[in-house]
Amino acid sequence: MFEISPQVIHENIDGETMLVRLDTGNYYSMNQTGGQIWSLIEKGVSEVQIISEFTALYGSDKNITEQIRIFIKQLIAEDLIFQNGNSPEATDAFKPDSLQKLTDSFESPLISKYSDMQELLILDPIHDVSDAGWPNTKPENNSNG
Amino acid sequence: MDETKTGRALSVSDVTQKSDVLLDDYLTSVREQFTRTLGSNDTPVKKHFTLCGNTIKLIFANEKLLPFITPALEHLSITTDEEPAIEICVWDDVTTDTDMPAPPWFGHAVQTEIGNIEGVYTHRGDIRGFNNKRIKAAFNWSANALSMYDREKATGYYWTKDARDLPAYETSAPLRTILNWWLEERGFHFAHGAAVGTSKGGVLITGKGGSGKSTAALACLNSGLFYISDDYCVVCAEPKPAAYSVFSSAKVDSGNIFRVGHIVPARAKTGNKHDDKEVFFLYPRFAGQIAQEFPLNAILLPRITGNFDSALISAPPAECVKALTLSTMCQFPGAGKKAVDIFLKLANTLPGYYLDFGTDVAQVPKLISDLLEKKGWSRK
Repeated sequence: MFEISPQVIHENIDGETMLVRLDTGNYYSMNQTGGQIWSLIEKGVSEVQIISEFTALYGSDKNITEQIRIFIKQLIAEDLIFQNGNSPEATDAFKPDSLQKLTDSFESPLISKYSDMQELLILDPIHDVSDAGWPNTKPENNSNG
Repeated sequence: MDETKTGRALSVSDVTQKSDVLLDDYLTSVREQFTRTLGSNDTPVKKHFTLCGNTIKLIFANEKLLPFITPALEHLSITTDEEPAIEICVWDDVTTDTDMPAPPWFGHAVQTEIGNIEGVYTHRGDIRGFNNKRIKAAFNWSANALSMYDREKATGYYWTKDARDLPAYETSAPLRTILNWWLEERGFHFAHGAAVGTSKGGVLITGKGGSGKSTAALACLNSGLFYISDDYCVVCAEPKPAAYSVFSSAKVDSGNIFRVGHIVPARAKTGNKHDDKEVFFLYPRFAGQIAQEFPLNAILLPRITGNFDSALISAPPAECVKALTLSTMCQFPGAGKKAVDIFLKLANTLPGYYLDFGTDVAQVPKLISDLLEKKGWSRK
Protein backbone atom coordinates (compact mmCIF):
# COMPACT_ATOMS: atom_id res chain seq x y z
CA MET A 1 0.00 0.00 0.00
CA PHE A 2 1.03 3.59 -0.50
CA GLU A 3 0.30 6.89 1.11
CA ILE A 4 0.50 10.28 -0.51
CA SER A 5 3.06 12.54 1.15
CA PRO A 6 1.44 15.17 3.36
CA GLN A 7 3.63 17.71 1.54
CA VAL A 8 1.81 16.99 -1.71
CA ILE A 9 -1.28 18.77 -2.95
CA HIS A 10 -2.95 17.38 -6.02
CA GLU A 11 -5.99 17.81 -8.20
CA ASN A 12 -7.38 16.81 -11.53
CA ILE A 13 -7.95 19.94 -13.61
CA ASP A 14 -9.50 19.50 -17.05
CA GLY A 15 -8.50 15.84 -17.18
CA GLU A 16 -4.90 16.43 -16.20
CA THR A 17 -3.61 15.34 -12.81
CA MET A 18 -1.27 17.90 -11.33
CA LEU A 19 0.71 17.89 -8.13
CA VAL A 20 2.81 20.34 -6.18
CA ARG A 21 5.27 19.50 -3.41
CA LEU A 22 4.82 22.35 -0.97
CA ASP A 23 8.29 21.99 0.58
CA THR A 24 10.22 22.18 -2.70
CA GLY A 25 7.79 24.09 -4.91
CA ASN A 26 8.25 21.44 -7.58
CA TYR A 27 5.28 21.05 -9.87
CA TYR A 28 4.31 17.79 -11.56
CA SER A 29 1.78 16.75 -14.13
CA MET A 30 0.73 13.31 -15.31
CA ASN A 31 -0.75 11.89 -18.46
CA GLN A 32 -4.08 10.09 -18.31
CA THR A 33 -2.68 6.69 -17.36
CA GLY A 34 -0.53 8.30 -14.70
CA GLY A 35 -3.59 10.08 -13.38
CA GLN A 36 -5.50 6.80 -13.22
CA ILE A 37 -2.71 5.14 -11.24
CA TRP A 38 -2.48 8.17 -8.94
CA SER A 39 -6.22 7.95 -8.34
CA LEU A 40 -5.89 4.27 -7.39
CA ILE A 41 -2.99 5.05 -5.06
CA GLU A 42 -5.11 7.73 -3.44
CA LYS A 43 -7.73 5.07 -2.75
CA GLY A 44 -5.14 2.87 -1.05
CA VAL A 45 -4.83 0.28 -3.80
CA SER A 46 -1.65 -1.83 -3.77
CA GLU A 47 0.81 -2.09 -6.65
CA VAL A 48 -0.26 -5.66 -7.34
CA GLN A 49 -3.90 -4.63 -7.51
CA ILE A 50 -3.12 -1.68 -9.75
CA ILE A 51 -1.31 -3.96 -12.20
CA SER A 52 -4.18 -6.41 -11.97
CA GLU A 53 -6.70 -3.71 -12.85
CA PHE A 54 -4.77 -2.59 -15.91
CA THR A 55 -4.05 -6.09 -17.19
CA ALA A 56 -7.74 -6.87 -16.79
CA LEU A 57 -8.45 -3.98 -19.13
CA TYR A 58 -5.64 -4.37 -21.63
CA GLY A 59 -4.62 -8.01 -21.32
CA SER A 60 -1.71 -9.59 -19.52
CA ASP A 61 1.48 -7.99 -20.73
CA LYS A 62 4.93 -7.76 -19.19
CA ASN A 63 5.25 -4.26 -20.53
CA ILE A 64 2.21 -3.08 -18.58
CA THR A 65 3.58 -4.54 -15.38
CA GLU A 66 7.00 -3.05 -15.98
CA GLN A 67 5.72 0.41 -16.91
CA ILE A 68 3.48 0.62 -13.85
CA ARG A 69 6.31 -0.48 -11.56
CA ILE A 70 8.67 2.09 -13.07
CA PHE A 71 6.06 4.79 -12.66
CA ILE A 72 5.44 3.93 -9.01
CA LYS A 73 9.20 3.88 -8.37
CA GLN A 74 9.39 7.37 -9.84
CA LEU A 75 6.64 8.56 -7.51
CA ILE A 76 8.51 7.13 -4.53
CA ALA A 77 11.84 8.56 -5.69
CA GLU A 78 10.27 12.00 -5.91
CA ASP A 79 8.86 11.59 -2.38
CA LEU A 80 5.36 12.02 -3.72
CA ILE A 81 4.22 8.78 -2.11
CA PHE A 82 5.66 6.39 0.44
CA GLN A 83 5.03 2.75 1.20
CA ASN A 84 2.74 1.87 4.05
CA GLY A 85 1.79 -1.75 4.64
CA ASN A 86 -1.28 -1.09 6.77
CA SER A 87 -4.36 0.07 5.01
CA PRO A 88 -6.62 -2.91 4.32
CA GLU A 89 -9.76 -0.84 4.87
CA ALA A 90 -8.86 1.41 1.99
CA THR A 91 -8.40 -1.63 -0.21
CA ASP A 92 -11.86 -2.87 0.62
CA ALA A 93 -13.28 0.51 -0.28
CA PHE A 94 -11.88 0.28 -3.79
CA LYS A 95 -14.38 -0.47 -6.51
CA PRO A 96 -12.75 -2.19 -9.50
CA ASP A 97 -15.31 -0.76 -11.91
CA SER A 98 -13.99 2.73 -11.27
CA LEU A 99 -11.13 2.18 -13.75
CA GLN A 100 -12.08 3.10 -17.29
CA LYS A 101 -10.43 2.04 -20.51
CA LEU A 102 -9.34 5.36 -21.99
CA THR A 103 -7.42 4.15 -25.01
CA ASP A 104 -7.50 1.04 -27.23
CA SER A 105 -4.02 0.03 -26.19
CA PHE A 106 -2.14 0.63 -22.96
CA GLU A 107 -0.51 4.04 -22.82
CA SER A 108 2.55 4.16 -20.58
CA PRO A 109 2.08 6.26 -17.45
CA LEU A 110 4.15 9.43 -17.51
CA ILE A 111 4.94 12.06 -14.93
CA SER A 112 6.53 15.36 -15.84
CA LYS A 113 8.42 17.46 -13.35
CA TYR A 114 8.88 21.20 -13.61
CA SER A 115 11.68 22.67 -11.57
CA ASP A 116 14.29 25.31 -12.13
CA MET A 117 17.02 22.69 -12.40
CA GLN A 118 18.70 22.05 -15.69
CA GLU A 119 17.82 18.80 -17.35
CA LEU A 120 19.67 16.47 -19.66
CA LEU A 121 19.33 17.37 -23.31
CA ILE A 122 19.47 14.96 -26.17
CA LEU A 123 19.60 16.05 -29.75
CA ASP A 124 16.96 13.88 -31.34
CA PRO A 125 14.28 16.09 -32.84
CA ILE A 126 10.88 14.94 -31.71
CA HIS A 127 8.70 17.84 -32.73
CA ASP A 128 7.38 18.76 -36.10
CA VAL A 129 8.99 22.13 -36.69
CA SER A 130 8.66 24.67 -39.45
CA ASP A 131 11.59 25.79 -41.56
CA ALA A 132 11.89 28.81 -39.30
CA GLY A 133 12.32 26.54 -36.30
CA TRP A 134 9.04 27.19 -34.55
CA PRO A 135 6.76 24.32 -33.64
CA ASN A 136 3.94 23.37 -35.97
CA THR A 137 2.05 21.14 -33.60
CA LYS A 138 0.57 21.88 -30.23
CA PRO A 139 0.76 19.70 -27.16
CA GLU A 140 -2.42 18.83 -25.35
CA ASN A 141 -3.78 21.12 -22.67
CA ASN A 142 -1.82 24.17 -23.70
CA SER A 143 -4.17 27.04 -23.39
CA ASN A 144 -2.83 29.05 -20.49
CA GLY A 145 -6.23 30.52 -20.17
CA MET B 1 20.64 7.76 -20.80
CA ASP B 2 22.01 5.28 -23.27
CA GLU B 3 24.49 7.19 -25.41
CA THR B 4 25.01 4.23 -27.69
CA LYS B 5 21.42 4.53 -28.87
CA THR B 6 21.52 8.12 -29.99
CA GLY B 7 25.27 8.64 -30.26
CA ARG B 8 24.56 12.31 -29.73
CA ALA B 9 23.71 12.59 -26.08
CA LEU B 10 25.37 15.19 -23.92
CA SER B 11 26.33 14.83 -20.30
CA VAL B 12 24.47 16.96 -17.75
CA SER B 13 27.41 19.34 -17.31
CA ASP B 14 27.96 19.60 -21.07
CA VAL B 15 24.34 20.39 -21.61
CA THR B 16 24.13 22.91 -18.80
CA GLN B 17 27.11 24.69 -20.25
CA LYS B 18 25.89 24.33 -23.80
CA SER B 19 22.32 25.44 -23.18
CA ASP B 20 23.53 28.47 -21.21
CA VAL B 21 25.69 29.52 -24.13
CA LEU B 22 22.90 28.86 -26.61
CA LEU B 23 20.43 30.77 -24.47
CA ASP B 24 22.79 33.71 -24.06
CA ASP B 25 23.47 33.82 -27.80
CA TYR B 26 19.79 33.62 -28.59
CA LEU B 27 18.93 36.45 -26.22
CA THR B 28 21.51 38.56 -28.05
CA SER B 29 19.87 37.61 -31.36
CA VAL B 30 16.45 38.50 -30.03
CA ARG B 31 17.68 41.86 -28.73
CA GLU B 32 19.30 42.62 -32.09
CA GLN B 33 16.18 41.52 -33.89
CA PHE B 34 14.08 43.99 -31.94
CA THR B 35 16.60 46.72 -32.69
CA ARG B 36 16.27 45.87 -36.38
CA THR B 37 12.51 46.30 -36.22
CA LEU B 38 13.05 49.82 -34.89
CA GLY B 39 14.99 50.62 -38.03
CA SER B 40 11.95 50.06 -40.23
CA ASN B 41 9.71 52.85 -41.47
CA ASP B 42 7.38 52.67 -38.49
CA THR B 43 7.88 54.80 -35.42
CA PRO B 44 8.26 52.88 -32.17
CA VAL B 45 5.75 53.69 -29.44
CA LYS B 46 6.73 53.93 -25.78
CA LYS B 47 4.14 53.58 -23.04
CA HIS B 48 4.52 53.72 -19.27
CA PHE B 49 2.42 51.90 -16.69
CA THR B 50 2.52 51.48 -12.95
CA LEU B 51 2.35 48.09 -11.25
CA CYS B 52 2.94 47.26 -7.59
CA GLY B 53 4.53 50.64 -7.04
CA ASN B 54 6.95 50.31 -9.95
CA THR B 55 7.11 51.90 -13.35
CA ILE B 56 6.96 49.63 -16.39
CA LYS B 57 7.97 50.80 -19.83
CA LEU B 58 6.66 49.05 -22.91
CA ILE B 59 8.35 49.69 -26.23
CA PHE B 60 6.27 48.69 -29.25
CA ALA B 61 7.91 48.34 -32.64
CA ASN B 62 4.94 50.21 -34.11
CA GLU B 63 1.51 51.47 -33.18
CA LYS B 64 -0.27 48.62 -34.97
CA LEU B 65 0.63 46.37 -32.05
CA LEU B 66 -1.01 48.52 -29.39
CA PRO B 67 -4.60 47.21 -29.74
CA PHE B 68 -3.38 43.71 -28.84
CA ILE B 69 -1.54 44.66 -25.66
CA THR B 70 -2.55 47.99 -24.13
CA PRO B 71 -6.37 47.83 -23.70
CA ALA B 72 -6.03 45.48 -20.73
CA LEU B 73 -3.36 47.69 -19.15
CA GLU B 74 -4.74 51.14 -19.93
CA HIS B 75 -6.05 51.73 -16.40
CA LEU B 76 -2.44 51.58 -15.15
CA SER B 77 -1.15 54.02 -17.75
CA ILE B 78 0.99 56.89 -16.46
CA THR B 79 3.05 59.72 -17.88
CA THR B 80 6.48 59.83 -16.33
CA ASP B 81 10.13 60.51 -16.97
CA GLU B 82 11.04 58.16 -14.16
CA GLU B 83 13.51 55.37 -14.88
CA PRO B 84 11.42 52.22 -15.34
CA ALA B 85 11.95 49.16 -13.18
CA ILE B 86 11.50 46.98 -16.27
CA GLU B 87 11.33 47.53 -20.01
CA ILE B 88 9.47 45.14 -22.27
CA CYS B 89 10.01 45.17 -26.02
CA VAL B 90 7.01 44.05 -28.09
CA TRP B 91 6.87 43.16 -31.76
CA ASP B 92 5.66 40.67 -34.34
CA ASP B 93 7.00 39.53 -37.67
CA VAL B 94 4.04 40.60 -39.76
CA THR B 95 3.78 44.28 -38.91
CA THR B 96 7.56 44.76 -38.90
CA ASP B 97 8.17 42.65 -42.00
CA THR B 98 10.93 40.75 -40.26
CA ASP B 99 11.66 37.09 -39.50
CA MET B 100 12.42 36.07 -35.96
CA PRO B 101 15.60 33.98 -35.70
CA ALA B 102 14.92 30.30 -35.06
CA PRO B 103 15.28 29.31 -31.41
CA PRO B 104 18.23 27.07 -30.46
CA TRP B 105 16.00 24.60 -28.67
CA PHE B 106 13.78 23.64 -31.58
CA GLY B 107 13.48 19.95 -32.14
CA HIS B 108 15.30 19.10 -28.92
CA ALA B 109 14.07 16.61 -26.42
CA VAL B 110 15.26 16.20 -22.87
CA GLN B 111 15.80 13.39 -20.50
CA THR B 112 14.21 14.78 -17.37
CA GLU B 113 15.46 14.43 -13.84
CA ILE B 114 12.88 11.70 -13.40
CA GLY B 115 14.36 9.81 -16.32
CA ASN B 116 11.69 10.23 -18.98
CA ILE B 117 12.38 11.49 -22.46
CA GLU B 118 10.16 14.47 -23.17
CA GLY B 119 9.78 17.37 -25.53
CA VAL B 120 11.58 20.59 -24.74
CA TYR B 121 8.32 22.52 -24.34
CA THR B 122 6.03 21.91 -21.39
CA HIS B 123 2.29 22.42 -21.56
CA ARG B 124 2.51 25.57 -19.43
CA GLY B 125 5.23 27.03 -21.63
CA ASP B 126 8.53 26.27 -19.90
CA ILE B 127 11.41 25.47 -22.23
CA ARG B 128 13.21 22.66 -20.46
CA GLY B 129 16.94 23.22 -20.07
CA PHE B 130 16.80 26.76 -21.41
CA ASN B 131 16.38 28.83 -18.29
CA ASN B 132 19.03 30.02 -15.90
CA LYS B 133 19.40 32.56 -13.14
CA ARG B 134 19.89 35.39 -15.61
CA ILE B 135 17.69 34.51 -18.57
CA LYS B 136 14.14 33.19 -18.57
CA ALA B 137 12.43 31.89 -21.68
CA ALA B 138 8.96 30.50 -22.32
CA PHE B 139 6.92 29.70 -25.37
CA ASN B 140 3.16 29.70 -25.46
CA TRP B 141 2.25 27.14 -28.10
CA SER B 142 -1.31 28.10 -28.70
CA ALA B 143 -0.57 31.81 -28.85
CA ASN B 144 2.64 31.25 -30.83
CA ALA B 145 4.28 33.77 -28.53
CA LEU B 146 7.80 33.87 -27.13
CA SER B 147 8.56 35.53 -23.81
CA MET B 148 12.12 36.18 -22.67
CA TYR B 149 13.46 38.08 -19.70
CA ASP B 150 16.97 39.30 -19.07
CA ARG B 151 17.15 39.69 -15.32
CA GLU B 152 20.46 41.59 -15.31
CA LYS B 153 19.17 44.22 -17.70
CA ALA B 154 15.58 44.09 -16.34
CA THR B 155 14.39 43.83 -19.94
CA GLY B 156 11.72 41.58 -21.35
CA TYR B 157 11.06 40.57 -24.95
CA TYR B 158 7.66 39.54 -26.23
CA TRP B 159 7.37 38.32 -29.78
CA THR B 160 4.65 36.67 -31.78
CA LYS B 161 4.44 35.78 -35.44
CA ASP B 162 1.28 37.76 -36.16
CA ALA B 163 -0.33 39.82 -33.40
CA ARG B 164 -3.69 39.55 -35.15
CA ASP B 165 -3.69 35.82 -34.34
CA LEU B 166 -3.22 36.27 -30.59
CA PRO B 167 -6.09 34.49 -28.81
CA ALA B 168 -8.39 36.32 -26.43
CA TYR B 169 -6.77 34.84 -23.34
CA GLU B 170 -3.50 36.43 -24.44
CA THR B 171 -4.79 39.90 -25.35
CA SER B 172 -6.89 40.02 -22.17
CA ALA B 173 -3.86 39.19 -20.00
CA PRO B 174 -0.86 40.31 -22.03
CA LEU B 175 2.79 39.95 -21.02
CA ARG B 176 1.88 38.07 -17.84
CA THR B 177 4.72 35.57 -18.11
CA ILE B 178 7.42 38.26 -18.31
CA LEU B 179 5.74 40.38 -15.65
CA ASN B 180 5.56 37.39 -13.33
CA TRP B 181 9.28 36.61 -13.67
CA TRP B 182 10.01 40.20 -12.79
CA LEU B 183 7.47 40.38 -9.96
CA GLU B 184 8.55 37.19 -8.24
CA GLU B 185 11.98 38.72 -7.65
CA ARG B 186 10.18 41.39 -5.64
CA GLY B 187 8.04 39.19 -3.41
CA PHE B 188 4.94 39.31 -5.61
CA HIS B 189 3.33 36.61 -7.74
CA PHE B 190 0.47 36.35 -10.15
CA ALA B 191 -2.52 34.50 -8.73
CA HIS B 192 -5.20 32.81 -10.75
CA GLY B 193 -7.99 34.56 -8.97
CA ALA B 194 -10.54 37.33 -8.87
CA ALA B 195 -10.31 40.11 -6.31
CA VAL B 196 -12.99 42.50 -5.09
CA GLY B 197 -13.26 44.64 -1.98
CA THR B 198 -13.08 48.08 -0.47
CA SER B 199 -10.13 50.40 0.02
CA LYS B 200 -9.77 48.86 3.49
CA GLY B 201 -9.64 45.29 2.32
CA GLY B 202 -10.94 42.69 -0.05
CA VAL B 203 -11.24 39.02 -0.89
CA LEU B 204 -9.27 36.81 -3.24
CA ILE B 205 -11.60 34.45 -5.09
CA THR B 206 -9.66 31.51 -6.43
CA GLY B 207 -10.25 28.14 -8.00
CA LYS B 208 -10.08 26.36 -11.31
CA GLY B 209 -11.74 27.65 -14.46
CA GLY B 210 -15.52 27.46 -14.41
CA SER B 211 -15.77 27.63 -10.63
CA GLY B 212 -17.51 31.01 -10.71
CA LYS B 213 -14.67 33.48 -10.09
CA SER B 214 -15.57 35.81 -12.94
CA THR B 215 -19.28 35.84 -12.27
CA ALA B 216 -18.74 36.55 -8.58
CA ALA B 217 -16.29 39.38 -9.23
CA LEU B 218 -18.31 40.96 -12.01
CA ALA B 219 -21.51 40.79 -9.98
CA CYS B 220 -19.74 43.02 -7.45
CA LEU B 221 -18.93 45.66 -10.04
CA ASN B 222 -22.28 47.41 -9.59
CA SER B 223 -22.51 46.94 -5.85
CA GLY B 224 -20.13 49.55 -4.50
CA LEU B 225 -17.23 47.14 -4.13
CA PHE B 226 -14.00 47.85 -5.96
CA TYR B 227 -12.81 45.46 -8.62
CA ILE B 228 -9.24 44.31 -9.18
CA SER B 229 -9.61 41.25 -11.37
CA ASP B 230 -11.85 38.43 -12.49
CA ASP B 231 -9.09 35.99 -13.48
CA TYR B 232 -5.52 37.14 -12.82
CA CYS B 233 -4.24 39.50 -10.18
CA VAL B 234 -0.92 39.97 -8.41
CA VAL B 235 -0.65 39.12 -4.73
CA CYS B 236 1.91 39.44 -1.98
CA ALA B 237 1.95 38.04 1.53
CA GLU B 238 4.34 40.49 3.18
CA PRO B 239 4.47 42.92 4.79
CA LYS B 240 0.71 42.40 4.64
CA PRO B 241 -1.43 40.31 2.31
CA ALA B 242 -2.51 42.45 -0.62
CA ALA B 243 -3.86 42.19 -4.15
CA TYR B 244 -2.90 44.37 -7.11
CA SER B 245 -4.66 45.04 -10.39
CA VAL B 246 -2.85 44.19 -13.60
CA PHE B 247 -5.53 43.78 -16.24
CA SER B 248 -8.85 45.60 -16.58
CA SER B 249 -10.19 42.77 -18.70
CA ALA B 250 -12.93 40.31 -17.89
CA LYS B 251 -13.71 37.03 -19.64
CA VAL B 252 -17.17 35.59 -19.45
CA ASP B 253 -18.70 32.45 -20.93
CA SER B 254 -21.15 33.46 -23.61
CA GLY B 255 -23.88 31.58 -21.76
CA ASN B 256 -23.28 33.48 -18.53
CA ILE B 257 -23.24 37.03 -19.84
CA PHE B 258 -26.90 37.48 -18.92
CA ARG B 259 -25.93 37.08 -15.25
CA VAL B 260 -23.66 40.13 -15.45
CA GLY B 261 -25.45 42.12 -18.13
CA HIS B 262 -24.18 45.45 -16.80
CA ILE B 263 -20.75 44.81 -18.35
CA VAL B 264 -22.05 44.32 -21.90
CA PRO B 265 -21.26 47.92 -22.95
CA ALA B 266 -17.60 47.19 -22.17
CA ARG B 267 -17.38 44.35 -24.70
CA ALA B 268 -14.03 44.30 -26.52
CA LYS B 269 -14.18 45.65 -30.03
CA THR B 270 -11.46 43.43 -31.43
CA GLY B 271 -9.84 40.13 -30.59
CA ASN B 272 -10.33 36.44 -31.06
CA LYS B 273 -12.70 34.46 -28.90
CA HIS B 274 -11.36 31.60 -26.84
CA ASP B 275 -13.23 28.67 -25.35
CA ASP B 276 -16.50 30.44 -26.08
CA LYS B 277 -15.53 33.24 -23.73
CA GLU B 278 -16.07 36.87 -24.55
CA VAL B 279 -13.67 39.58 -23.49
CA PHE B 280 -14.64 42.87 -21.88
CA PHE B 281 -12.36 45.79 -21.04
CA LEU B 282 -13.81 47.41 -17.94
CA TYR B 283 -11.68 50.52 -18.31
CA PRO B 284 -12.65 53.28 -18.97
CA ARG B 285 -16.40 52.57 -18.56
CA PHE B 286 -15.99 51.28 -15.01
CA ALA B 287 -12.91 53.34 -14.16
CA GLY B 288 -14.38 54.50 -10.87
CA GLN B 289 -14.86 50.94 -9.65
CA ILE B 290 -11.42 49.59 -10.53
CA ALA B 291 -8.94 49.63 -7.64
CA GLN B 292 -5.20 49.38 -8.24
CA GLU B 293 -4.62 47.61 -4.93
CA PHE B 294 -6.14 46.77 -1.57
CA PRO B 295 -5.20 44.63 1.42
CA LEU B 296 -6.50 41.08 1.36
CA ASN B 297 -8.75 40.00 4.21
CA ALA B 298 -10.01 36.58 3.15
CA ILE B 299 -9.80 33.86 0.52
CA LEU B 300 -12.99 32.60 -1.10
CA LEU B 301 -13.33 29.28 -2.93
CA PRO B 302 -16.41 29.40 -5.16
CA ARG B 303 -18.56 26.30 -5.63
CA ILE B 304 -21.52 26.16 -7.98
CA THR B 305 -24.38 24.63 -5.99
CA GLY B 306 -27.44 24.97 -8.17
CA ASN B 307 -29.35 26.29 -5.15
CA PHE B 308 -31.08 29.65 -5.25
CA ASP B 309 -29.27 31.15 -2.29
CA SER B 310 -25.55 31.71 -1.86
CA ALA B 311 -23.63 31.17 1.37
CA LEU B 312 -20.19 31.44 2.92
CA ILE B 313 -18.92 28.40 4.79
CA SER B 314 -15.56 28.21 6.56
CA ALA B 315 -12.84 26.46 4.52
CA PRO B 316 -9.60 24.99 5.92
CA PRO B 317 -6.24 26.55 4.97
CA ALA B 318 -5.27 23.35 3.14
CA GLU B 319 -8.13 23.81 0.70
CA CYS B 320 -7.13 27.44 0.10
CA VAL B 321 -3.52 26.44 -0.58
CA LYS B 322 -4.64 23.72 -2.94
CA ALA B 323 -7.01 25.91 -4.95
CA LEU B 324 -4.65 28.86 -5.20
CA THR B 325 -1.46 26.94 -5.84
CA LEU B 326 -2.57 24.35 -8.36
CA SER B 327 -4.69 26.59 -10.55
CA THR B 328 -1.93 29.22 -10.65
CA MET B 329 1.11 27.02 -11.06
CA CYS B 330 -0.33 25.10 -13.98
CA GLN B 331 -0.41 28.35 -15.97
CA PHE B 332 2.81 30.21 -15.24
CA PRO B 333 6.12 29.00 -16.69
CA GLY B 334 8.76 28.80 -14.00
CA ALA B 335 6.30 29.03 -11.11
CA GLY B 336 7.76 27.13 -8.19
CA LYS B 337 8.95 27.65 -4.65
CA LYS B 338 8.43 31.42 -4.58
CA ALA B 339 4.81 31.00 -5.59
CA VAL B 340 4.20 28.25 -3.05
CA ASP B 341 5.75 30.28 -0.23
CA ILE B 342 3.51 33.27 -0.92
CA PHE B 343 0.38 31.14 -1.28
CA LEU B 344 1.13 29.20 1.91
CA LYS B 345 1.53 32.43 3.84
CA LEU B 346 -1.70 33.83 2.44
CA ALA B 347 -3.63 30.66 3.24
CA ASN B 348 -2.23 30.44 6.75
CA THR B 349 -2.85 34.11 7.50
CA LEU B 350 -6.22 34.79 5.95
CA PRO B 351 -9.50 33.10 6.82
CA GLY B 352 -10.87 30.92 4.04
CA TYR B 353 -14.46 30.40 3.00
CA TYR B 354 -16.28 28.33 0.44
CA LEU B 355 -18.48 30.65 -1.56
CA ASP B 356 -21.46 28.39 -2.26
CA PHE B 357 -22.69 30.06 -5.38
CA GLY B 358 -26.45 30.16 -5.87
CA THR B 359 -28.41 31.06 -8.95
CA ASP B 360 -29.39 34.42 -7.43
CA VAL B 361 -26.12 36.12 -8.31
CA ALA B 362 -27.25 39.39 -6.71
CA GLN B 363 -26.73 37.83 -3.27
CA VAL B 364 -23.00 37.44 -3.77
CA PRO B 365 -21.93 41.12 -3.47
CA LYS B 366 -23.91 41.46 -0.24
CA LEU B 367 -22.35 38.32 1.22
CA ILE B 368 -18.89 39.65 0.43
CA SER B 369 -19.69 43.14 1.73
CA ASP B 370 -21.04 41.68 4.97
CA LEU B 371 -17.94 39.53 5.33
CA LEU B 372 -15.65 42.51 4.81
CA GLU B 373 -17.46 44.50 7.48
CA LYS B 374 -16.67 41.89 10.10
CA LYS B 375 -13.87 42.49 12.56
CA GLY B 376 -10.89 40.31 13.35
CA TRP B 377 -9.44 38.98 10.18
CA SER B 378 -6.32 37.04 10.94
CA ARG B 379 -6.53 33.28 11.09
CA LYS B 380 -3.47 33.40 13.35
